[in-house]
Amino acid sequence: MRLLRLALLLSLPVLLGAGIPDASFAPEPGGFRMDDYNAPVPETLAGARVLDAAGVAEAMTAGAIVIDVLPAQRRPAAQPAGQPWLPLPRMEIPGSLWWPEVGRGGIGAALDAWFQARLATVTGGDRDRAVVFYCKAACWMSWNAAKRAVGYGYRRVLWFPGGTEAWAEAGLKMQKGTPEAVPVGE
Amino acid sequence: MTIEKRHRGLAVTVRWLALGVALALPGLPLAARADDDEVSQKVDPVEQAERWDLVRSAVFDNRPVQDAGDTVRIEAPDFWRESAMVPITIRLDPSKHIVSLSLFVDNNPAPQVGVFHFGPAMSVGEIKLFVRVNTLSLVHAVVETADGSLLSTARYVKAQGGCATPSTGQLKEIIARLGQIQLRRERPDDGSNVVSRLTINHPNYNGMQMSGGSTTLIPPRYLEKISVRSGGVTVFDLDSSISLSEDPSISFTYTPAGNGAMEIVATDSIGTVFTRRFAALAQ
Repeated sequence: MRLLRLALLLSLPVLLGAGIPDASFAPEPGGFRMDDYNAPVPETLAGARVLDAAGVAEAMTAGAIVIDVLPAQRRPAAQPAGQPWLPLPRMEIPGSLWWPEVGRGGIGAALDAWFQARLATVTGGDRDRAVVFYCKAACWMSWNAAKRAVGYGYRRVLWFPGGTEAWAEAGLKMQKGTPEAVPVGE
Repeated sequence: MTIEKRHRGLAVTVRWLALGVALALPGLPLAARADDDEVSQKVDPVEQAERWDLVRSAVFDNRPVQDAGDTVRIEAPDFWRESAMVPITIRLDPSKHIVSLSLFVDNNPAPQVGVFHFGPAMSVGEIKLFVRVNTLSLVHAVVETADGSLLSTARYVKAQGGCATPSTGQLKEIIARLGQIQLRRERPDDGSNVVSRLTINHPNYNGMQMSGGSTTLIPPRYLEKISVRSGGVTVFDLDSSISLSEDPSISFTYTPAGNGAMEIVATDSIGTVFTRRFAALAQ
């Protein structure tokens, strides 16, 4: 049995690499992902549970809080007159909160404090309240945000790596999101 | 394919393969990793057409825009990993008296990449540049001809994350080379027109990037106007936006005018003006 387990372990790279075109995952880093967010994500997040779209729907029925962490578009100051500013509406999971920027690799003290305070508010200070984090598919920001929540001491952090793409593909309803104002220095 | 499908597929496949492969092929070298950079993005032609209507009417109001046919062609990769720097080539029919070219990445928040106003010293033909593409989008090129007609063509480009992607360089290096202007020129055999490539070092910060590892957004600072003159005669004036890539690089062809000297003037959104002159090419 031990031999079989060893053989399995040794052949895992083969299984992951060959003949299974959709099965590549990034290894889970020790810290936060600092940049290049649109890239393959890990399969896991230590301290959190990974959900698919059906799992998110189920968790929501059971009262989970759902948080979209995609950065919001900001109109550049002094955009020349006549140049259109037409950000696409962000279609997200109905009932989501949208907290932009909290999934960055590095966040300032002000944003960090804001994130903790908002989490405490929406969970009513209950660290056993289930909280789902997502953004887009193959985007590290939801992973970062969920990791941060685990670090804050939340015990039922749920990560939905498939994000809005997986939600849409599952044929589930979406709604236009409105980002909350977050303290981000400029 | 979505992530959770990958999970399920992987779990099942691993279970089956583990039995057979694990015993037969332990310790094989690591195979090449599958290329899964391309994230599933759906194209809804109706949605894209509505989007273009929105963008088009914001810029051209009710003016009719006709199909450009062979007058305008766009070349671009179907998918490009580096979404902050997607190469686009526009080929214009030189016989059509084109006076301006507007380029759009429809689904970008600032969809209008820029407007080229061509002058007498422009040899209208091929233009290459690099744009930011935030998500799967149609790229539209609209030209105006001397008689005031608008002609348009489009193609899809797939990329993701161009707008919030951090600049590739380190902040210090970017500031050190800020405003440097290069103009590479080659004189073709017939000696008339000059094929050239203009590069201006500028981060074109869009206000949505964070400096690597830092905690604050970099304020917007981007090139708003790039003017190119030959012997005092306009080659083109470009009104540009945050949808142009960092370190903008534009390939074009001009017909030397006057003394043939080239003058480049670029102005950014905080009012900094960068200028450089280049002597005429030796005969």
